[in-house]
Amino acid sequence: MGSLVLGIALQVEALGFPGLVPLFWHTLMVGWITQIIMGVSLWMFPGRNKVESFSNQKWAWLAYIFLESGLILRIISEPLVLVSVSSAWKVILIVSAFFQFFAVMSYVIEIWPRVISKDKLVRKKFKGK
Amino acid sequence: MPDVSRWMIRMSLVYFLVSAGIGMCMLINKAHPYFPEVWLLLPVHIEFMIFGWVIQFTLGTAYWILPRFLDTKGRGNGKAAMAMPVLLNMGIVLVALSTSGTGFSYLALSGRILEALTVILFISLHWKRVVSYSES
Repeated sequence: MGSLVLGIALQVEALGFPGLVPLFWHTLMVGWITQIIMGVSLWMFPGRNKVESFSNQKWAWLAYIFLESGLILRIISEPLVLVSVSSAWKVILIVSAFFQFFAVMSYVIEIWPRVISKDKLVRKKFKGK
Repeated sequence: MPDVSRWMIRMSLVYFLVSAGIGMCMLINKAHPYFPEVWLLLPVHIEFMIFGWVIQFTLGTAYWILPRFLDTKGRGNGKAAMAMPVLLNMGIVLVALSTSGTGFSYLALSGRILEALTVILFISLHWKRVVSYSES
């Protein structure tokens, strides 16, 4: 929805918001497409610990927290970096860049060991018993 | 999860990580232009994100998750399926190299042809797997 609103705002020149093009693409490609891929794969891929707790799913939770906070900070700070003289927005934009990268890193750490063959999954389960 | 899917998904995760790293450097550069040349990597960032991550991950997962053939219980021609990650990744690398100013104009064209061949191969391998198990 956010991406679509930004898409509409892009077409209304009278609004004159700066730096909306990268925000439109990133809310669409990261905020929606990437996030839905990450969410569905975390649920669907084999080897998930089905006991719900933060410690059992800490990398997945970290990916979610970093991605959301990184994107929100980016949406706020990216246009403001272009129009404001305050260096605070620059700092926030840098923080958002690190958060988004940490989100990807956390997701890869969680999902990499779960990209396994059926045989390996059975062996893993057998070993766990 | 079959080998083809594991190769494609793991490769897609590598592209995702590399592309996110490039994106992080570009965003930091937007706040503090310490190294403006990083913007030359924008086409690589886009190529890796769209073809390397989103498309490759989707194709790899679809190969694993779509219904298998009822008669053989298999996923069709395994060798043709293994050509998918090979062609796609060669295509991605060629397109990425074409943006580096090597002067080889045919790199991007060859890369796009390989990517298109991957999609044609994917469609031909999966068309008959998009089925309902219902008799009607």
